[in-house]
Amino acid sequence: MKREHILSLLYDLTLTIGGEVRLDALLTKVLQRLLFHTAFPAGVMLMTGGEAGSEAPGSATPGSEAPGRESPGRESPGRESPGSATPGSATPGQASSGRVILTASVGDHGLAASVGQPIDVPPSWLDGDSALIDDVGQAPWLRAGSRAYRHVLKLPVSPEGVILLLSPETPTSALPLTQVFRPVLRNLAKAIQLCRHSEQLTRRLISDRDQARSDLAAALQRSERERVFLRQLTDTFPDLVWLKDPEGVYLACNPPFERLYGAREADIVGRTDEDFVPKAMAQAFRANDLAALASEAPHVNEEWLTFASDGHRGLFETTKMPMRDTAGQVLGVLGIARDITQRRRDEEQLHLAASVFVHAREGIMITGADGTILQVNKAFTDITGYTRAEVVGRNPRMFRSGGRAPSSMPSSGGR
Amino acid sequence: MLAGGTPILYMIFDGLIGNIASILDVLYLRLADRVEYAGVNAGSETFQPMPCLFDADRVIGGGVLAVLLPGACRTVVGHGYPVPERVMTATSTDGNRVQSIDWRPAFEVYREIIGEEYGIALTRENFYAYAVHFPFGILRAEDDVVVRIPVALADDGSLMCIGEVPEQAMLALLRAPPPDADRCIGRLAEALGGGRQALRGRDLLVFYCAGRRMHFGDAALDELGALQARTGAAAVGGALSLGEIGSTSAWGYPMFHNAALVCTPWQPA
Repeated sequence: MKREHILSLLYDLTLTIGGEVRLDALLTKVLQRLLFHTAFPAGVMLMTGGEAGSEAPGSATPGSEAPGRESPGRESPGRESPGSATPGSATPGQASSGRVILTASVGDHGLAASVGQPIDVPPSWLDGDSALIDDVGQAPWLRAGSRAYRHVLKLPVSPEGVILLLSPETPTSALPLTQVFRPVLRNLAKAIQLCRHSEQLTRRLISDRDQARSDLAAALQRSERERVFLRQLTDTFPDLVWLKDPEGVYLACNPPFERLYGAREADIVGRTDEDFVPKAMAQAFRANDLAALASEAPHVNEEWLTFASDGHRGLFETTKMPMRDTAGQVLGVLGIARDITQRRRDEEQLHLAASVFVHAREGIMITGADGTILQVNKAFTDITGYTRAEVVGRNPRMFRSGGRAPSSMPSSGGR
Repeated sequence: MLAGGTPILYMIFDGLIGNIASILDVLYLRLADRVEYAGVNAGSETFQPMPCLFDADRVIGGGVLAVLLPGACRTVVGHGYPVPERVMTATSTDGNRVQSIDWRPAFEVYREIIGEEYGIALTRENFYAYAVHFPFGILRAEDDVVVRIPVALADDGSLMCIGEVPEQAMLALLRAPPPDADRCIGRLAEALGGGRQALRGRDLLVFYCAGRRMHFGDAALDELGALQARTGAAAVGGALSLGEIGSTSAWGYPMFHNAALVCTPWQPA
């Protein structure tokens, strides 16, 4: 039965070791199971490694003695005393000082307060095989414990460190405790390394995740700022602005456009022109949209539009252009319509005035405020005999000098 | 009540709480050796939920009554069940429910083993009456077992225990011993005082597992009588319990047991 008994303990510990990915949880669970199985009341994990050999700031252990002189110890068959040297090479970080980190503690609130601190232990406690060490009461770091321990079961977890199970009373197990746990302790060392690796990966993933979240938040903030800016820009823009998807469905529009269709943006988005204007007009709009999509350059046309909001009508110069994302994919058609009704009227007035100027029978001279001749009409050149080039840029005083036809001095005007 | 020393955290759980062993693990991590740990489970042997804990203000179920007693005398726990010969694997467990053993439905395997080894035809009806004689054991390196008595049979063939069974645990099938086969009472008396008549003139608080009582029958009273005689206790008082809390060694790891006695020397304030 003893063989099956031992196998069941190893099975339990193997499951415990294989079930954790965080180092502190792994060490705590393993210590708990070891205490459960052995009836030792307390246990600690002392870890060697890079950080254990260097003294942490403010963490010196007052009164620590030289390794190997902590207690005279009591030798007993099959047992070690605290100071007994054990042949074997030192593991990294422990060197001759025997300085290690108290990494985990279960069952002793005094020692639990020292977790994370460097402590000095006899090198023989770190090297060699599993052993039961008697008369350990004088070990300085153990004085921090809340009980007077006399017996330590040393379970090396090479090269990571050592587990020490502590008891004030002589252990009574009929099983060879120094032998039983050896196979799983080797696995524990590997599990510790895997946990460290896993924690490094986790830390890196968390860091990457946090950075990504931060970048995203910044991008969203930027995007929101830009959105507000664009929204305010389009809302205050006097021109009609809208965006349709490639199928002609409205994606957005500004308040002037809302007045064109006499509907709010929320009621326009998701619909097409056919929902607001006669079919023929909608088809014309669509044809312009498609022309804009097919073209790399803006597509410009003029059209008379009647506003549903108040019935007024105006001439608009409509510019449509394809809108693309950063990858070049077409998002839709951006349209801007500018009211050119007044401009067209002004142009017609100017055209009319120019026609009068050109075709008048009287000679007309236009001068600037300082009297410089800016323009003359054909009748002027016919009457005075001067060409346009001869008079433009000069002063009308030139005609007093006994020119060609002083009697026929033209009338002058300003602009 | 009890003077001096490390105080005793005495806990009385509702017996139907399924994770008492895990709660003890967490308590030991937090409190460590600031207290000694002892306690029992309360409830009904019908294993039906019911309010079973009370203080001056209320009666509740599904909880724990925790009392911090000034400690002077060690509480001792023992059961005397021997380490068995046969080991099997609880291949699927969920808290205190053993769903499968050796990759087969738990009751099927349990019934088979009891039938083959002890010639008993186990049925749903006589299940608890026999299960107290053939509990499970979780093996420890201290050459000891933590007993788990199956107390109910679920419709899906799962066996319900009072107390958790670790997932994928290797369980031993125990045969409950004859009275005092392992000097259980003698060991408890020694642990209580280290010598005969150590508690002379003092009373002894004893909780006695209800399943153990079913197993021993009238011999249970003989055990209690022997305990009183060996310790010299003036009186032995207590109750039947549905689970016991304590360590089998001085200052040891607190564990949740079945089939045990929990003994605390009692000294009036």
